[in-house]
Amino acid sequence: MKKSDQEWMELTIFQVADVNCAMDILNIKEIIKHLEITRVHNAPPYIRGVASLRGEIITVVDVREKFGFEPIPLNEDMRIIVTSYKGENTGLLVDRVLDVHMVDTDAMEPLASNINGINRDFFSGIYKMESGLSAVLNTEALLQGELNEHIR
Amino acid sequence: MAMIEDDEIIRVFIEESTEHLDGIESDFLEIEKDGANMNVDLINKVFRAIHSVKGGAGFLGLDKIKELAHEMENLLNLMRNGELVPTPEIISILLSGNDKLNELITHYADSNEMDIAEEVVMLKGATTAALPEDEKDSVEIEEKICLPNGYHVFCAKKLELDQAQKAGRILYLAEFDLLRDIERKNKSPLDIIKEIQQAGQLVESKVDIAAVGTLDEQNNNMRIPFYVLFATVLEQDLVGKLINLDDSHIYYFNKERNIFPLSAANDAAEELAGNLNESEESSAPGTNIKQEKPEAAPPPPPAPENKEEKNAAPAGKTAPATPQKSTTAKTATGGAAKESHPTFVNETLRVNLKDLDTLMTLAGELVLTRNQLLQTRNQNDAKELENAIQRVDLITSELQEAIMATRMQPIGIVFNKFQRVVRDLSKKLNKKTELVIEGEGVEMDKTIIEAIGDPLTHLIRNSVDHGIEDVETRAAKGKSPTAILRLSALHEAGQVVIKVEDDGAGIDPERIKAKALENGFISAAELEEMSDNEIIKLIFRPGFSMAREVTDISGRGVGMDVVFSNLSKLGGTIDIQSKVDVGTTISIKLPLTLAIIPSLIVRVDEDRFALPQVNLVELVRVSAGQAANRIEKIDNAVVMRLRGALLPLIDLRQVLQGQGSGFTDLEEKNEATNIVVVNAGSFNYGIIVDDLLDSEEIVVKPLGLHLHHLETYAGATILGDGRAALILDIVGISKAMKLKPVKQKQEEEEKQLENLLGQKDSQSMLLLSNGHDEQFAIPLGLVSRIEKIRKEDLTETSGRRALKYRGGTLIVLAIEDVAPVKPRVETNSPYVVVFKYGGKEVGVVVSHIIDVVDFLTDIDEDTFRQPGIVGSSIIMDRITLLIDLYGLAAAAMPERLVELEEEVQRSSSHKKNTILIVEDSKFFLNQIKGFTEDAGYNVVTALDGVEGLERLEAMEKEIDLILTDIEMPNLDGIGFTREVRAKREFQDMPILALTSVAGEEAEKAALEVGIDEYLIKLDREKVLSNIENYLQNGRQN
Repeated sequence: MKKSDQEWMELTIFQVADVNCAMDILNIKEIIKHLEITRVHNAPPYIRGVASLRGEIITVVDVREKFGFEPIPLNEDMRIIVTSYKGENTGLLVDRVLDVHMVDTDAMEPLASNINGINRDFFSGIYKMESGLSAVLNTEALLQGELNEHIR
Repeated sequence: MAMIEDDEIIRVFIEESTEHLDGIESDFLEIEKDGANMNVDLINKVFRAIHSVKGGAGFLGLDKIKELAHEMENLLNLMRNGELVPTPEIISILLSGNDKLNELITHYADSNEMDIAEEVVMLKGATTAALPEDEKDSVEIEEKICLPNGYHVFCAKKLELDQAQKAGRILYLAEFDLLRDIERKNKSPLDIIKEIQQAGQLVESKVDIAAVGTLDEQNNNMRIPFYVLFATVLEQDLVGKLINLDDSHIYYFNKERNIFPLSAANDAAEELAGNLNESEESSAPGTNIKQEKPEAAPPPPPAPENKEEKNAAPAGKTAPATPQKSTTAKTATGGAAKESHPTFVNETLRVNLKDLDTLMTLAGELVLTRNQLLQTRNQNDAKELENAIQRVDLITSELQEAIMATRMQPIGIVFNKFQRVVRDLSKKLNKKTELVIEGEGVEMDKTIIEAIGDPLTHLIRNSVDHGIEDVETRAAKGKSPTAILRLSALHEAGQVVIKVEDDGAGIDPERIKAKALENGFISAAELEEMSDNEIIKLIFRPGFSMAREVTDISGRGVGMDVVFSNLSKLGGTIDIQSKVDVGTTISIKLPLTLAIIPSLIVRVDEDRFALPQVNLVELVRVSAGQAANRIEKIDNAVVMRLRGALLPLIDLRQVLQGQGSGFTDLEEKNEATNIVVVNAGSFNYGIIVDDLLDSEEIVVKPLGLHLHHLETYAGATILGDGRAALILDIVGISKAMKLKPVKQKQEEEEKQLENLLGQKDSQSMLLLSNGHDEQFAIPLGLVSRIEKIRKEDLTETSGRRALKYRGGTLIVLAIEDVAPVKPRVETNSPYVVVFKYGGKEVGVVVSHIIDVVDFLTDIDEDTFRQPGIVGSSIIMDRITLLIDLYGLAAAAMPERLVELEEEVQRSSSHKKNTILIVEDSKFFLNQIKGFTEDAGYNVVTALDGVEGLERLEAMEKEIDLILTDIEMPNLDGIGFTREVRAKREFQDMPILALTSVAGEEAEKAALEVGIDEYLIKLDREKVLSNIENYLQNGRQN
């Protein structure tokens, strides 16, 4: 994450199942509301599908599925967070986007144990906020995962 | 010199060098071909190219590039001066030098660390060997180049200096000032080098930072000298104008290589007094001109024609310097290694200015139309909006075309590099091959041009390695010792067809068989059932390599299957034809562009998919009632009957659910099944989809990392409604589903077809209409092709309709020309059904093609009998008029008939074969008679077995072959044949049955009585080929 030379960072807080997650706002390219996802048969289960982002085809990863929860049908609150992974835009489907918080970079604490049974590798740390805990998502780890098996 | 790190200059240099070196390889091959009969212009061209590279590299501190180019240049120079004959060995050395040079340039950033020793040694060796004894050491010796004041500028190779001074050239040293002469004139040192190279020969150049001195030397005319040593034929008084430099900064060398200031020489020349006019301001700060070699007489311009001076320059000679040791100057960076080491990939593209102008105009149009759109939105004017939308549509298409045009490149770029490949390979394998290239001007999209190289290389290598025989074998076979390898490209129906043809040994199906069995690819039983062509196509199967031994040329375990899958990725298809000892032809069909492809959108449940039209063969709709009959399971595979062939079938829904080859039970469905028949390269298969939606031109987008591995998809696209849709990978799906072509012998297929349909006299008919309620049918077997044309292409001249077509003219008839039917309703894109009449193609124009149906030939031959109409039948619940194509053509073109008859008479003077056709249906009789006569046979007809026997008796001597129907009144085909065979004189008469009676038993019975072949009625090609075969070879017992 950010170095100590930058004391503050802005975190986007979003919800996946009952977990509050966070991402550095600088790692987010945009958040899409229009969820026109085309499903891709035969794809790994965590792939929700592909979507058109202004002429570009992006892969949409279902974060719920990655966390080990049951996928749910699309609803009004759901958003796709677009981030760059290995040079290509990739979408993360989350249940809802909550807020943006300014936090002190030094206040991030390491993860003591798994959260709600989710693989702790998916997070790089945790913030204590007034609204509760927010786990900072490690998108690299989240998106790498099973990819190794596919790219031979 | 340390590498200069100016990205822009380096980029320009690399681009230019790549361009310079681009055609050189083929030039070398040309030079080799010319041999002693040298084409000096060509050698000069190559020399200049290498020379330019050397010049730039030297300046930029790319020492290895410079050194290598320098060595190549030396060798070329000898050639150019006629001191060396380009033998294949010399050319090989130059070619490998050229390869290395290209490699160095591509990896320019690392080039100084790369090893070029081998190439340099070879080049040097060749140069030394060619030099006269006393010049040999000049290859290594370096001479110091010093200003008259003794200031050492740099060193240069003696050989190069010697060569430069030959042929009347004079050697000059120019001292530019980077600030005044270059920077302020908005030039770069590279420009200067280029200017000089145009007029002469550059030997060495250097920016001399060391000479600048320190800043605090209060020196307001500080110079950064840029020294250029070059030779030109221009004399002393002109050279200054050439390089645009004051004489005071130019020095010249006499033939003993003593240096003199040019100004002095010119002044002297003018005054003849030898007044040494010292021009002090000319030199770099802190240096004064001193005549270091006082013994040299200054002025008169040296007489240049004397080539043979070999006096070493007295002052500047040094011991042989190692090649690595270069003249060093201290640049600010000291050549610090770069963090990143960029590799040069040519990311620029030359675009025709006209194309750019078109783009600009279109962009302007688009802006105007946008304004129009914005306006109409405010006004809410539906008609205006419609107009604007139409314009956007038009401009978008034009824009797309214009942008595509900029990406198009001639395929010759790829083709020409094969000259080298073929040359090297042939040499290595001791074969003689001539590569003939055709159609190198055919243009394709840049991406395809780039991607096609590897598969083609593989094919060419294969051809030379496996296909073409060595000289001795060819001689033994009576072939010309030089094999012809033809590489051609041509446009065909919106695609490019690339062919690789050789006249080599061909592929022996027996060897493939053996190999396939050995590798356990296929069972002996399966092989037994395959045709030779199918067997040859086995080489496209993964892991199949035919090389007898693994050579370093081909056969590294990668084979045609790799070529095949690479081409599939490009949307291409491949086909192979081979005949033992005659040769092999491989045809590749490729789309013109990858970026935008026409495709069919299909639907399964709520998902839509794009299916590239290149893979599309036809669309078949099987009605609910027919499904049970036409779709069945054979060995766990689902197949469909399609015009006598078995087609493997998959259900797209099952593919998507990853359920292997299962498929939805069609019999339970109450609606028609849509089947898209696609081509997966070596075979076709059918895909069951829910619905066919539309044809759309789609833009192909790659899938992300997480989806790359999916075999089912070739990419994704965005449809008209803005949603993403996936593009199906036809070859990928066939692999994923482990589909195999259904192999069956033709006879079996026919039998099964008949068993399955349980029908008699079933024929494939093409249903047509002219836009009225009249429906017409033509036997599909007689049709060569169906073309969809544009109304405008059909012209009427002197009462005859014609179509400009594939460079020629096609006569086009209409049914109403002859038959009393309603005239055709004009449509924008009518269809032309093409068939052969009298050896030429003729077309029939109709408004619509309705369908292709198999129907029972229950023909009423009386009710509607009219000119051009042979009868009627009920097809798809409607009265359908059966068109007599031959009657139609004969009536519409009586002159052709006369020609034909004349032809018949003329040729009947030679022995012409006569065929007896026994057939009770007038419809079939006419059609069969039509195509057999057309093929040049005399035809005698009979309407049943009894009449047939009568004819045979009467014309005993003349009849050479009998075609007979089986089902006939009075005496059927079986009885007829029995009677015929009973007579001794007809024992050897070939009798071919035109089947309509189904069933194995019927065939068995027929064969027992002595029928030679069982053929499908109106399968024109097959019937004709059998006739020919039997007439030539007689009965085979």
